[in-house]
Amino acid sequence: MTIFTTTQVGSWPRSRRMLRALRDRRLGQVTRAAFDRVADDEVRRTVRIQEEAGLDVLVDGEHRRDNFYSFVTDKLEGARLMSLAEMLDEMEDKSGFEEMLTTLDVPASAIRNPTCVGRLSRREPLAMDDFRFVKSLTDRPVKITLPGPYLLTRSMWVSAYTKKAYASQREMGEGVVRILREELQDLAGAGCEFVQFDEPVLTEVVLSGECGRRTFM
Amino acid sequence: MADLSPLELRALLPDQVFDGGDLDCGSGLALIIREHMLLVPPGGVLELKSREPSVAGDLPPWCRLSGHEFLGSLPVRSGQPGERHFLRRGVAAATGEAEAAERRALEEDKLRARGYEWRLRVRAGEGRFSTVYCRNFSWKLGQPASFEERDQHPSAVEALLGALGSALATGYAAECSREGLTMDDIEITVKGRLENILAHLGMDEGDPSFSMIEVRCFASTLDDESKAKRAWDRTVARSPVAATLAKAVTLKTTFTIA
Repeated sequence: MTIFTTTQVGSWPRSRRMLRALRDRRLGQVTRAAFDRVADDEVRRTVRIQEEAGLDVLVDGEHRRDNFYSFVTDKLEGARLMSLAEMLDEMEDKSGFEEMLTTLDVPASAIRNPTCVGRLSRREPLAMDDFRFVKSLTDRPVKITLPGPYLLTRSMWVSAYTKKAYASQREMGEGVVRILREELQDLAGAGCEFVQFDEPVLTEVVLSGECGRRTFM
Repeated sequence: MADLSPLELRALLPDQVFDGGDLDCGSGLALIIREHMLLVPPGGVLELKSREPSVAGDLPPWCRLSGHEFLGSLPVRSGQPGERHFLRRGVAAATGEAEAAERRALEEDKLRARGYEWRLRVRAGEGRFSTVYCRNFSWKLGQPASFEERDQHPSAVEALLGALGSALATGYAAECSREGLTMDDIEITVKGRLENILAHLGMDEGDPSFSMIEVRCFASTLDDESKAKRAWDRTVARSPVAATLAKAVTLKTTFTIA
């Protein structure tokens, strides 16, 4: 290993082909096998570029993911991918919501949230397949990224939908932590060298001291 | 009048083809069909593409009444919304006095369409709202303008901006469908500023009119972006509400592929 260990943070830009496959999967218009064929190609290309660039710890580029935390809805029981457009009717504070969308300068449909709509459990591992696939492509150490427990607990709780399943956000949060711990143990057991937990919202809490607000990305 | 089999329909060579998009027979499609039918030779075939499901049911009786023959329908592409409908122009309806009468009738109906007047009735309610009655609808609006966070009803100012946004959102969806553009999502934001709201409140002399209205369209598509943009420009230009407001106020429209 070199003096400065290099790796890469953040997901890779999706190719047009990948964007189409992601869109088709969202609309249920493509089989998993057909989707994986496209995504596998993209991951192979991504790994090759990193190897050629001489990076030490490789990532798969997160091509398969809707976004870096909403993708958990593919893997979890009790979670549903919902665009903010679908949630507009259920939002209590509509003008605050409008304010936020205006600030982000995006349409409500562009933001998709992993909303908790039932008791949470892993239907399948969150990232184990991703790890195995990227590991099959390289001898270098591999990094897997997962959304952090605070980010998930904050985003997945949408009272109108979640209250039916959990009495409180804290109770749901304990479910989230259990799921992430199981995943971490599985990944470690399979030989994954690095796991990165993403907690971008935590910086907002630290800097503004504000915990009650809702965040979507 | 027996429908043709899919095989026979596929073998047809239409003399005239047009796309009716999402229009239904009540919103002008009948006029457009008649106009195209007049371009078909007697006994020839007109193909109408449509994504409006009610059209399939409306065409056979319309054909019966107008002396044409409904031949049947095919899906545009399997698994995709939309159908191709085939109509054979009646020979009797396409010759001599019958044809001349149809041309005259169509011109008269087009004239009537141009002269159509929209009518609503509005009654002031007990409290700060009024009710609008129109065709089979009625809806309530609150104050002329409101700054409240929450209200019982939307204000008239918001209704105007909402009408503009919805005219463009629905109009754009229809235009894209006519153009064969697949839109995953269409969302429009509308912002409006008044010259002087204090003039409306009677606190100030001045102009209470809109000084600026800004419309922003976010369209999500993997199809040709310049085609999508041209369809948006056409939608704005052809919208009665947008065209009227543009005469009176700075109407800024922007288009973004999201």
